[in-house]
Amino acid sequence: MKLPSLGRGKKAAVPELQDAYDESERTLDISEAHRDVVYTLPNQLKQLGIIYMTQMKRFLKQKSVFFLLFLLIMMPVVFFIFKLADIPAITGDYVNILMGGILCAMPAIGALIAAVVCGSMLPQEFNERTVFLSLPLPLSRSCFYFGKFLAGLTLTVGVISAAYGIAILLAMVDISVAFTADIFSSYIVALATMFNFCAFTYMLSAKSKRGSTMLPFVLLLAIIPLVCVALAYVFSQVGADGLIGALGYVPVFGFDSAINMLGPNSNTISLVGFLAPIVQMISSEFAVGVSYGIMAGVAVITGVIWLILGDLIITRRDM
Amino acid sequence: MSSSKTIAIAMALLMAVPVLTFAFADDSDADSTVTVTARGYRWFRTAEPVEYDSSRYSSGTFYCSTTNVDDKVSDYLHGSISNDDIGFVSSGSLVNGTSYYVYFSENNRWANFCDESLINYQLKEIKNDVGYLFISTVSEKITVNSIGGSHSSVTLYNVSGWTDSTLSVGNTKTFDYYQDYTYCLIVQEECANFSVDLTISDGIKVLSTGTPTERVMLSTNKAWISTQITTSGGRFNNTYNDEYFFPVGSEIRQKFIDDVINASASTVPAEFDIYRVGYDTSQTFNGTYEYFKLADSYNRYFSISNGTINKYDSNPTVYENKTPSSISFFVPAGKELHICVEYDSSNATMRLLANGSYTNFVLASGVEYVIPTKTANQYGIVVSNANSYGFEVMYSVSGNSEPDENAVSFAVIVILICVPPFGLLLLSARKPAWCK
Repeated sequence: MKLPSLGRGKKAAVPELQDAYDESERTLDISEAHRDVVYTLPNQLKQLGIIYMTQMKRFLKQKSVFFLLFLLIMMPVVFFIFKLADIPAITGDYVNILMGGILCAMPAIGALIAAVVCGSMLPQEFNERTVFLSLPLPLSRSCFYFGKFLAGLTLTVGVISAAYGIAILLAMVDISVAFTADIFSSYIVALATMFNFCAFTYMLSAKSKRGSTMLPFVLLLAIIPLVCVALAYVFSQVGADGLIGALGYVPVFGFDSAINMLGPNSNTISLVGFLAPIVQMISSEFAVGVSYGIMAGVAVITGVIWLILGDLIITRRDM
Repeated sequence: MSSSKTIAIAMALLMAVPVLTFAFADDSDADSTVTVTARGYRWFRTAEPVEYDSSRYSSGTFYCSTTNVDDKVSDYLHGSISNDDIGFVSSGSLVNGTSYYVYFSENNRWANFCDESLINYQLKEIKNDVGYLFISTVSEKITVNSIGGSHSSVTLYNVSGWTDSTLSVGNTKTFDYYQDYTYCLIVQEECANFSVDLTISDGIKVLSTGTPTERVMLSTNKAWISTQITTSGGRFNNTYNDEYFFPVGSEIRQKFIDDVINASASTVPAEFDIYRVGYDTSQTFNGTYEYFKLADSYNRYFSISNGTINKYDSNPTVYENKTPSSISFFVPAGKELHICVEYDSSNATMRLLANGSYTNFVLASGVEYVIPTKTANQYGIVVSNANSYGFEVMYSVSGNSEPDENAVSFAVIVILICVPPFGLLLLSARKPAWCK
């Protein structure tokens, strides 16, 4: 609207503003107009849920998830190939023993899954700069950290559960004699170990800028077990047998322990599995822990500590 | 402090958590001294006197008496009475044609008296306390401090029966096996008692005797085979007992199949003796017969060259053994399997199966073995060296798990557990409400 020009000393008449809104049409009450709504930050649980679902959505776009599904699909394929070829690696008269053979790759694949899923979540956010879209939001860093971890943990727990379920069903193709309590113990230890591995790799990734899948994988599968075996040798030299027994409960041996609860571990793909003769050469007295309660407890407690440590790192990280 | 240092220190501390936790549980490595008395093997005698034939070859260690001296045998074996007191006849004084009770130990269960294995006779076990020292060990040591009586050394056997070493007073033997466990036993010469004072490492367990309660019949991996033959008369001898001629289609043949073969009988009843082709068979066979023989699994054919019979049959009728050849137990990780078997050790040996495979581990009769397991294992017992179709064993076992029917339900549960994670994954693919 063009205003009229004003001459010096003259007061121009102020025209009455006209808008299209008709006051008589203002029918919204206060509630409907959201005038009584107090906007606050979403609670921690809500924040956690949003981050959780966002990370789940990210997983869908990653090849690693399809790699996990591929591993699950390969289980029956490999089983029936071994069965047809009469390869003795997967044999036994009981479901438990057969499951031990079917899940013999769990120590290696468990470490790999943890490294692939939980070891890359945070570094990807930094590499792709998406973290800088999330952090300015009204959202605590701890929720951001734990929400993503829970998403990774959910996925890995799902894979381990599916692996156990498939293994039981495959083992029961020919055999029906099973000892469910021992399978359950093994399952609990496997879940606790998976939690520990995820927490460990996630904690390492909290510090890392670029992220590495290989580092936590090698640490969990080879380096830390080797350090434990070397320590066992040192302890045996000084006669500390109790300490050697304790080393068997370091969580890196959790999956070996879970397999041991099912059946013999000579074919297990781990340092103390098919490389057992080398381990025996270094320390003949070293053995993986046999108490599932202690093994699961140590794995959960140390896993929680890894998580807290990772949270401290991420909240203090300069971003 | 930088984060990397924090991580390093935390890792070291966390690795130390279980170590420090269990440090207080460290058992002392003190040695202990035990005194044990070993008394030798179980002894048997023939149920009836056996006629001595000086023209035939004899071997093995056995003791003969014209009278029953069972009540004195234990005293003799324990060393409290002499050879003269018990009245055993020395081998040089055996009289041709005289019948003797023959006494022999299970160590000499293959002993031959006049060219006939003593186990072929009905035997009676002479009660003599089993006094072996069975030990369980790995990478441990044992020292002989003193030996009672007039003996200067003790012999160490592994459970397979092989001599491991001979130890004199002051000798130390270190077991340096990599297996989880090794069982050995120490005995002195048979037929004598002695006590030995030993210092053993803490890792050695001395095993005890047990009394099994369960009874089971096991297959011996042998099968009865039969073929038809025609003889033209004569007496047929062989060195085995388990060969029989039955008239074709006869009732006694069917009874043999029902009572012995189908029933997996461990011994053939005496009623069939007149059809037996054995060393002491006096019957003559003339006509067409069905010839039954107990054969090993690898030797299921007839090769007969005896008198007027000359026949090779590579395709005989095989009566497969229907009884199980072994019993097995699932032992959870971290448990101890207690297993004790009692059987006629003069006729067979019992071996331990581990994960479905034969081991060289021989289970001595009446001894309770404690087998610690670091991993879940499938153990079992199987008969070997038995010359019968079935073999009866008494056994007791504890520490094993009982199977249940819940595995399928558990499988369904764990698969259901994995549904929410993958469900959430798919759910996250939905567009948010504000985006619609």
